[in-house]
Amino acid sequence: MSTGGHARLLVDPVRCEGVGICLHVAPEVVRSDSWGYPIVIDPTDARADRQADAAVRACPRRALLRR
Amino acid sequence: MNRLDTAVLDAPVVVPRDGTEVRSGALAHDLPAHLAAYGSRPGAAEPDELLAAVDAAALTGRGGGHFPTSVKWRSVRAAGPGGTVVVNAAEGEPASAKDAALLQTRPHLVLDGLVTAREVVLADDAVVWLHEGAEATSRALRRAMAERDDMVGVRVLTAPGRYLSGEATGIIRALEGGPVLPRFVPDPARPWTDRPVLVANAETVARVALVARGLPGADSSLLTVVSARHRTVVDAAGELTLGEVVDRWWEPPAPGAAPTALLLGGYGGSWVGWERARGLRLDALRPAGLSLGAGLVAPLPAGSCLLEETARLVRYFAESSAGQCGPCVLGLAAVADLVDDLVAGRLSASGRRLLERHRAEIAGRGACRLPDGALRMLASALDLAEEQGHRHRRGRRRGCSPTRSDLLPIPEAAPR
Repeated sequence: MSTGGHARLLVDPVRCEGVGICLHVAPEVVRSDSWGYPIVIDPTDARADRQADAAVRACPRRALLRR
Repeated sequence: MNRLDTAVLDAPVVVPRDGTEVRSGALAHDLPAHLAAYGSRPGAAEPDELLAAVDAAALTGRGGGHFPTSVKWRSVRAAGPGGTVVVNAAEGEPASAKDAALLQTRPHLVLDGLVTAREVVLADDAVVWLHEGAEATSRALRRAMAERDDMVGVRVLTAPGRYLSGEATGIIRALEGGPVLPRFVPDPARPWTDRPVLVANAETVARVALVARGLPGADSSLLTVVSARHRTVVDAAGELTLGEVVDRWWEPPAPGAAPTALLLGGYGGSWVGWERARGLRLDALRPAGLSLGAGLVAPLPAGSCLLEETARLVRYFAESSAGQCGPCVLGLAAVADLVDDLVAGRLSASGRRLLERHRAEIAGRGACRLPDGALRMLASALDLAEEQGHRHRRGRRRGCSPTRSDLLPIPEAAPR
């Protein structure tokens, strides 16, 4: 799926434990489901890219990746 | 008889409802019978020619995903030599009996397919993957392997008898030394982290063995037709309609009784109303937005409640979760509770909205497709109930008067 040159943001749901730091550092590309687990939106601009990268770095479970 | 067989099964095979030992039907082929029926396996032909023939046959994965077989095999072949071929006969689909029927009656067709797959993807390791407890299947497989001289190094491995033991990423994870549990795969074309692994369904490789002989191969499908007391596995031609399948191979609870709906594909498949289903040809399901999935055909007799059966299946899926992904573990449990409320006729308007919300937010968020299958089946049931004017509201039922509620066999969940 094309995202206009922006790498996608993916969650490894096996690693993810719903810690929730990503929700705070990347509010434009990550939102919470009913249980506090992240639902991600693929970045489409530079600001969203920066947030996605920050979320990847901040995740203590290393459950986020760009691809 | 000089004519060679062209089908996987030349007669229906009957398997008990609870149990995996073939009771009657197509005669089991030992090696001489196999060779008399199909001729010998063509030797190491050009893999590219074989893959072109598989392409031409439009063979797709019969484990349920129906991904093009040639594409998958080519990507493993392109990853280089030294990998593993896994023939998946774990019968992960709960009510299906086709792996049992296939390995107990046509084991050599499956083993021919295994050897061919090993050649095509340049593997130096081969595995047959079974569920624990499939004793008759395991015996038949080992007996057949002992008759052949091309089985050196082929391993038979058994996994705990639960829903996800046949899931491909979990099989690969187990071969790499981990637990038999699904894992997240960023690139579906490369589900391995170590050496290349081809996980191929037993029926799929049996059909490759037919295609390798120049036989049609993909023009029919193994179906498991679920009746109250037994299951019938048949090799059904694509031009048959679901109505003809049910008429021929389903035993209704009362003579002549028609079903009201049928569950198609698997427990994670789709409920289809009988009036619509009966005219659908097996080879024209895709344009109708349906799939033969793993080949399950489970008619719902009058007297069984669509919503009750659905609630049992949703609960089974919730309990079969690997317990790894939050949206699946928490989400399916919540959905199962709401569907129980719906069946009891006590789902409030806010409960309905919550059910809608959960269905939307869980889809696509597991490492495997278990939650997606559960939600697809649920969605098809809710749509069909609406269409059939079937409602449970404020403790009262409309359009349903169930006399039994155990149509579909639910395996006991093995501890994970």
